[in-house]
Amino acid sequence: MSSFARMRSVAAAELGVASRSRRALATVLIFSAITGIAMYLTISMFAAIEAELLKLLALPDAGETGSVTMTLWQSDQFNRMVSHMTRNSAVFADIQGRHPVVLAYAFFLFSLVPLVTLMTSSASVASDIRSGSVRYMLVRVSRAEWSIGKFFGEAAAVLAAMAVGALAAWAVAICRLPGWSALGLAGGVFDWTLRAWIYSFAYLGLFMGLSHVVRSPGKATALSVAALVALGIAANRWPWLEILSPSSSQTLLWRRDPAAFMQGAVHLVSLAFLYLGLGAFVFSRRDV
Amino acid sequence: MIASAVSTRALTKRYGKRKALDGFTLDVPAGSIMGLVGRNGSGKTTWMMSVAGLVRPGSGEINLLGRGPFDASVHSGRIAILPQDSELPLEMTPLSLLSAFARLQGLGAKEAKASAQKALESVNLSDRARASIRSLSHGMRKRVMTAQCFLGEPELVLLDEPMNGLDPEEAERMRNFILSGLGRRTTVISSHNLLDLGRIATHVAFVEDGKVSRVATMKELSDSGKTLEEAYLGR
Repeated sequence: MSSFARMRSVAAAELGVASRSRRALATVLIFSAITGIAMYLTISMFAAIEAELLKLLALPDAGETGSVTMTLWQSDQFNRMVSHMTRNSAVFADIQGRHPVVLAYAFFLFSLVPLVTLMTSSASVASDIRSGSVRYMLVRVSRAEWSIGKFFGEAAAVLAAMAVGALAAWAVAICRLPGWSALGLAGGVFDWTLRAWIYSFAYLGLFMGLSHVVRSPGKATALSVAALVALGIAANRWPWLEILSPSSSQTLLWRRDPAAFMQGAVHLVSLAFLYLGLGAFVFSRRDV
Repeated sequence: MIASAVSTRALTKRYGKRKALDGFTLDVPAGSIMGLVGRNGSGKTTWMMSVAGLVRPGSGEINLLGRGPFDASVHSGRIAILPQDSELPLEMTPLSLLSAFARLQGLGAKEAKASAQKALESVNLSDRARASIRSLSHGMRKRVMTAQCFLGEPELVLLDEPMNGLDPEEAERMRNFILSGLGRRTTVISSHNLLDLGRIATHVAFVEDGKVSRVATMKELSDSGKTLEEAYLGR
């Protein structure tokens, strides 16, 4: 059996465990509720702002939430203003044609990525070490195969959680925006979900890497939170350290330009394997 | 066939100041059932875990099935272990877990499922194959742990206290099952239950303070007119 096949089997087993785990189920439910509520509140907010605007300008009802915002969004003056505010004209140019409701969803989603990843995966390795269940695996696969297989299994579990959340957000959106194309909304929602999933890799690598060096699931989660805070503080104080922080590539994932997007994706995948590799290296020298 | 399924020379392992293994040397004849007896903390479990690659010895040599120390690419599917105090993933079902283990040992999807079903049958758990492990009793979980050792016919099986937590009927079934592999596979059993061990082992190694003090065949013991318990207690 090839090494790749063994890693694939570990990943499948990990996904099987995650899909039956109470913690993962709770995460999916909470995440779906948050994305659904966030979508509902976003649309309500746009509807309220637009109603206020129409009333103020004494204009007839546009009939569809988002259409006024979209018009405003695409006007040159507004573009220049926002472009100046974001200080990143390339990012702004890339997101300009997208529906504001979908962009608001993307903003929520990217903000939630560290939390979702923390909840699903931060303790996954430590809990296997603590319970001893890792021993049954390590007489069948190498430690490196186990670590990499687990990473991909957890990545698949995060994708599943995000897909369910995206479905909830999409369902709310088509109920609240009946005039919009359901397919168009689905395309927007799932496009951003995939981008956010790629963003989650670096967090997954960081949390799972840390989880390799402790035995207690609680300590692994605490260590992950501490690492997030430390990275944030360090990148703020010493900007050259920003390259070690997943958030440094977030804006690149918002880009439509394939080269910029790939640059961000490669950075995030590299970070993931750097952190996972460091954790796996420590683990390879430990007794289990 | 190789003469020794496991050969360890002068293994050492320290946990802080305590020496868990202190020159542990042992050859386990291929096809035998080797019993390891000794007090708590004498080094039996550490030796087993070192052989399986789960614990890294400080020094010494391990030769496993004639192919050096444990290496997953060489030994995967050829050795199995029933570790002490190790839980199974509680969310999975026995059938899905054993199928996953069998896949890791290189079996195809259908073969893996068939092998998992056969293993569960052999420990009398077919009726709970699709229940979650969380819902199983301690004894049933122990039987699942034992079943995973016999997936895909491994050449070497390391069992740490395999009879603990089993009722008398299941313990008897387990003994018969271990005996059924005599000559075909090598089994090493660490146990404090000398009566059980005396009924199934072909060889016995007495372990004291991190090293083997004596190795004997059960025939040698019986020829000397002693039971295993008497030999252990030095009577």
